[in-house]
Amino acid sequence: MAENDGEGAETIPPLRKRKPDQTLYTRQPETERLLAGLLGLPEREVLERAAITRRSDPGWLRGECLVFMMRRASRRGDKRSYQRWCRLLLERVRAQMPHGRSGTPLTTVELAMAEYGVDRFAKLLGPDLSGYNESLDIYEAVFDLALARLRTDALKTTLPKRDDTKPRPTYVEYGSDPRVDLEVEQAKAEEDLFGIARGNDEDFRLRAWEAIDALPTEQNRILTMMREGVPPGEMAKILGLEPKTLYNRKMAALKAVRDAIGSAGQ
Amino acid sequence: MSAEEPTLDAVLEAFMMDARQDGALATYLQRHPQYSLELIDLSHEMHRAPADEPPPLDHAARTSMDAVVARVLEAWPVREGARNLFAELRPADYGRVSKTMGVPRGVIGAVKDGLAIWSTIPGKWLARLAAALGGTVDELRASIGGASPQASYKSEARPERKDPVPFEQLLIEARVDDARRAEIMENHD
Repeated sequence: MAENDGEGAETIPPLRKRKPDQTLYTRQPETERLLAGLLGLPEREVLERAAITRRSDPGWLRGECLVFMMRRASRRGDKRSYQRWCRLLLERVRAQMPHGRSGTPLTTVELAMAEYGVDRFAKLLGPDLSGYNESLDIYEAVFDLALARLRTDALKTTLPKRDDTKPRPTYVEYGSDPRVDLEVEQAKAEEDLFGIARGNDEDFRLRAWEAIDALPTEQNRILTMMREGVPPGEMAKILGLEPKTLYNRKMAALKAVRDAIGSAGQ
Repeated sequence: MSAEEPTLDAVLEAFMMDARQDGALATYLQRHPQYSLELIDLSHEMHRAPADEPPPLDHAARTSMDAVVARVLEAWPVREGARNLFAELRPADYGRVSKTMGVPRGVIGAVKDGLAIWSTIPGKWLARLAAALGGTVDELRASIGGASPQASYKSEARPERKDPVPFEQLLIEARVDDARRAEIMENHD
């Protein structure tokens, strides 16, 4: 907690939470580098940068820095400063909860998810104020990923449960060859749809993700494991599928997304 | 005998911490097959690129956000047990302390209000101020930016600002002469 060694030099205290293997959570080196620079700036200036919402702006600050600054204000007993950082952070959390295209009002479900995310994050702050809440450490270590977790939880909590065992309308069965070699087929399907979804303009990305999200959960999971290089045998085991069925569903998923991306590009 | 099974939360967070490593998902699926579906769903969501510019908050969202912030601040601790070194200072005491420290009263008041960036205040000066207030540097730090006591530090040269600035700037604005300022800042890295 000591941030000042008595000679005026402020240090960045380490995080305290440990992974199951007992190693400490750590900030990313880039975050540490940014923080070291921010500590020498007037707080007003850092707050101005924190209020920048456009990620491509050179002054934009990652969420990890905002969490650090908010906790720093708490350690210093500076309520006014804490209030400002808290507000900015909650806005960041809300902004990353699922929402439709820019300019369209939130649907009821999106609104519920936004409120769920903000509320769950806010609940971490009280215990941190009165001591130290290790549950907040993940946000200071990998803010965007922690919000991804919040989104998955929001989706599961807010959306009605769907029956993943039944094929949805987009489901397509392909011709089958029981001798199909899944390893070879995976090599054929190397195209990284998620890469496409990341690498193009925002509207295109949104459409690609809409297509991916519209897949039955099982197909969605197949694409995710494909992207992450999980061996097909392992995929089949996890999903409880026969290799042939896995292949069929994988191809159906790829076709559905490619069709959506293709039609979006026209 | 097996080690205690980590919880779903612990596994998902560890996965986030290790997500940059090649093959992280495959590794975690192997290690924690009981959480396979949760790991896959999280991995999927983690790759969603955030919008470059999120939509602005509407009036209702801003109002709701204000309420959440107010609720969070209800947990702001009353720091019992932590001494507020400024709490018992009377106006006359500010004069005594400022004389001891060789700066105008406004500088002491500004430090009390957290208007000087802590890291920019020379350590030796802080130690002397803490001693002049009858406490330690840690107590001084805990006292900064807290609730204002009744005592006034009316000053001829109190810096008029709301946001913290480097300590040296505070001295300049309080019209501390160059020689004294250099003397104070001498011991600062």
